[in-house]
Amino acid sequence: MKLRLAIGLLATVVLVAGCSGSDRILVGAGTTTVDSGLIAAVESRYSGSVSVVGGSTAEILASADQGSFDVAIVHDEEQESAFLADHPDAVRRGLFTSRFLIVGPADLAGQIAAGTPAEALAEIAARGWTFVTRADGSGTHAREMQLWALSGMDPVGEWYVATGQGMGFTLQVTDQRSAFTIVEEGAFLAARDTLTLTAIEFPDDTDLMNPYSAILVNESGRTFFEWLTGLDGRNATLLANDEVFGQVVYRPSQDSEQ
Amino acid sequence: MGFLTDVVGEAFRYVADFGPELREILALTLVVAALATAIGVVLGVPFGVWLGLSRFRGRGIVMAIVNTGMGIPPVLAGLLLLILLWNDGILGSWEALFTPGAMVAAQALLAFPIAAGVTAGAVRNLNIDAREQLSAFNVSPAGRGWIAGREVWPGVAAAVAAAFGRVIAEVGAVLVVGGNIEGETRVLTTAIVQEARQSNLGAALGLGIVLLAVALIVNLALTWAQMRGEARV
Amino acid sequence: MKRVSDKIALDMSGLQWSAAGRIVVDVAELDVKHGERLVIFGPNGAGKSTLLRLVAGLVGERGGENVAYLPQRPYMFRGSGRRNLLLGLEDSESNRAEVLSKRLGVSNVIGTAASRLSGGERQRLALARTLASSRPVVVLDEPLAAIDAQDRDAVVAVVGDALSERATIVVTHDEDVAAAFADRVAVMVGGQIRQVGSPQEVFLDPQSEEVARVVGHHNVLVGTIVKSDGPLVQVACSGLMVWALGEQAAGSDVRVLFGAETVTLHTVDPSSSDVGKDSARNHWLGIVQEVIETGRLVEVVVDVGQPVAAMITVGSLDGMGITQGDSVALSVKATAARAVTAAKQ
Repeated sequence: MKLRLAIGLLATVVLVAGCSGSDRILVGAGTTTVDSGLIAAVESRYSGSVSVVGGSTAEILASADQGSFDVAIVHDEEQESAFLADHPDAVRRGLFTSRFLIVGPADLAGQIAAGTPAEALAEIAARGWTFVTRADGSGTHAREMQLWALSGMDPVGEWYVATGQGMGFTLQVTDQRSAFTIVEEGAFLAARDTLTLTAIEFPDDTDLMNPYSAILVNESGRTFFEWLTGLDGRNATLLANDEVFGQVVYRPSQDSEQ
Repeated sequence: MGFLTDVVGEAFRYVADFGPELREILALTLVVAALATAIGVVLGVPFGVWLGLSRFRGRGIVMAIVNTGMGIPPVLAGLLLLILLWNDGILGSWEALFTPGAMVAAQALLAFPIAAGVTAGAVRNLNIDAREQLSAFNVSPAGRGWIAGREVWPGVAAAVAAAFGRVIAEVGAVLVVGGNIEGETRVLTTAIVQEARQSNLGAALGLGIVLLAVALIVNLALTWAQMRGEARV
Repeated sequence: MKRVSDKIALDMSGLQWSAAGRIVVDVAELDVKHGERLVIFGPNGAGKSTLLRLVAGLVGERGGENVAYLPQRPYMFRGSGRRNLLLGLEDSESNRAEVLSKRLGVSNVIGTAASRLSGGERQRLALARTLASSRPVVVLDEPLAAIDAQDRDAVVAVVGDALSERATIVVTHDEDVAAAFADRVAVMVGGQIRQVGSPQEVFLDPQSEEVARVVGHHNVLVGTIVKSDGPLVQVACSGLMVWALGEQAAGSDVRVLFGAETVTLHTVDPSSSDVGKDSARNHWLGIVQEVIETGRLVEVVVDVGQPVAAMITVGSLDGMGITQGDSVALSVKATAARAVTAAKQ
């Protein structure tokens, strides 16, 4: 009995020590792309060993700044540029593009006649309909604030509710209060079965486009980086989209050189 | 109501399935929590015994620090370790970030003050006659500590249970230094967070049920051991 | 045969201790010699236990390394009696502890869980452990408190044997134990040592009223048992034959103890040497040596071969007209006197 315990303990220590192998590629990627399983589905088609950590763009770039990620998959132009300025050796390429949706209860959403997302937000604020914000410094929240700036409205008042939580909780709160929120399409599709919300359709949704970049941080990640942003990687991304969402949500960039 | 029953039903189906992914997550959760508890206990209990027995100036301050450590937010412990383990950090050369090893270290950091604090409390509550007799013995300080620790062993068992309960239920530290990597560093709590983020409430609840079951089994085992020990003595 | 040396084993002079602003111990001058048995005797709250704790190094700064200490309430740790018997002892001391546990009558309980032991068994186990220690100074705080009265003599004898040449300090408030055990008795009152001397000196000749109250005017006669008769023994004490309660065998060295208040004084008719008849078995003739008035009571010391103190009221004294140099008769009931085994000299 004691022998078996000792062997079990030893095996455990070996297992834990073995996991800290230095030859694996560490990839930091946006929460939604990781949580949805998209990145895992993409990298499973790659021949090497890749470990994926999810986080916000800010979190991933902070760890990448310290050299802890080999490749970063992020989606905030401003933060990306700042990072590249600090790290002249880093390489950035466009990876894929998803889009944000403004979602709300079907009966109210149908009444909105706006042509652009910013106009739609102005209309929601003007009518005093409840809007739920994540207010958590995420990419989604950053985009929401940009759209409010475009709308010319100040999102302040009892109708404007902050959760400070991730997307899943924020969607549940939005649904319960028959309110509006902004959400990445991938996250919305994953949660749609539990919700009664629908997306507002726009003739022009340029402002909702959500381009992701891949950044090569450490040289050790180059092989994976080249594969991911090359033809094979783009094909793998399309297949992964189909596998995870049954449709293309993260559309591979056609010309990945930037 | 329909929504709630759907979620609960899904949760129990998820647990009943006990699929390979759940098995893997459960195994890693147990290994990481057990190792972290072991490290925290091996270092914390002797420290707690020493703290409980000794009389020195500043003991109150040390005790206050330990008690504060018992309540340290896990995410803060994780952040401290993250900064140390960053590739350019002090311990960056270990390349331990986003590995189970880092998770064990972070949780051991949480387990240590609990093991020390609960043990010190138990030793301080030792009968005055016992403390007097103890200091009269012709033994080394370590030998004295061993006798005292053995004397308050139900308290030490409670310290182990409290440390294990804390580390297995925490999410902040393992998420920050482990990264919730599928198949590598995903444990019950980080999986719950992820499933909840995805609005997969059934799976999240199912994982929660497994977590509670583990905590319950471990506590029952320790309570049983305590009662058996009490009956024997 | 001389057990007590002149060399000081432990000097307690100048030991002081205060707690909560109150002086608990304030010893001006006191030491214990190698081989000596010093009894600290005094009422509850006199500071006796605190003095021992100072000596054992449990409080205060100095001392402790050379001292084997038996606390007043020996604590039994989890586990068996054997574990408690051997706790803190080295291998060479363990054998002695096993032997002592047998002599103290607790070798049959060492397999029992300590929590199931009686108070007496616990005290004997702890006593065996303390005596087994090879430290040169042994300090015992009320070592017989939990031991039945009829067993005390036997335990005292074992303790005396085991101590051999070591310096020993014993705290007790039991006069029998003090008288049987001590080479010297130090009377402690209010944290201070008020009188130090042999048991006879202290119990028969208290130097102050305070000490007199504490010792209760005890008469101590040293002798050897010549015969035993049921619950009684007859003891030869320097030519004086004394009947007392006791169960020791003939030939045993004992001390006979009785309080001064148990001694009855009779005037003697000069024409007759007949003392008169009463139920007392001890009748002695003697000459009044000294009459000491202490308030409403008078202590009359009579030489009956050795000094014996009697306590009577002023009224009785006046009625009998006794003065120094008078012949008087004393009587003491055998049941008021106790023969206690003297620790081996």
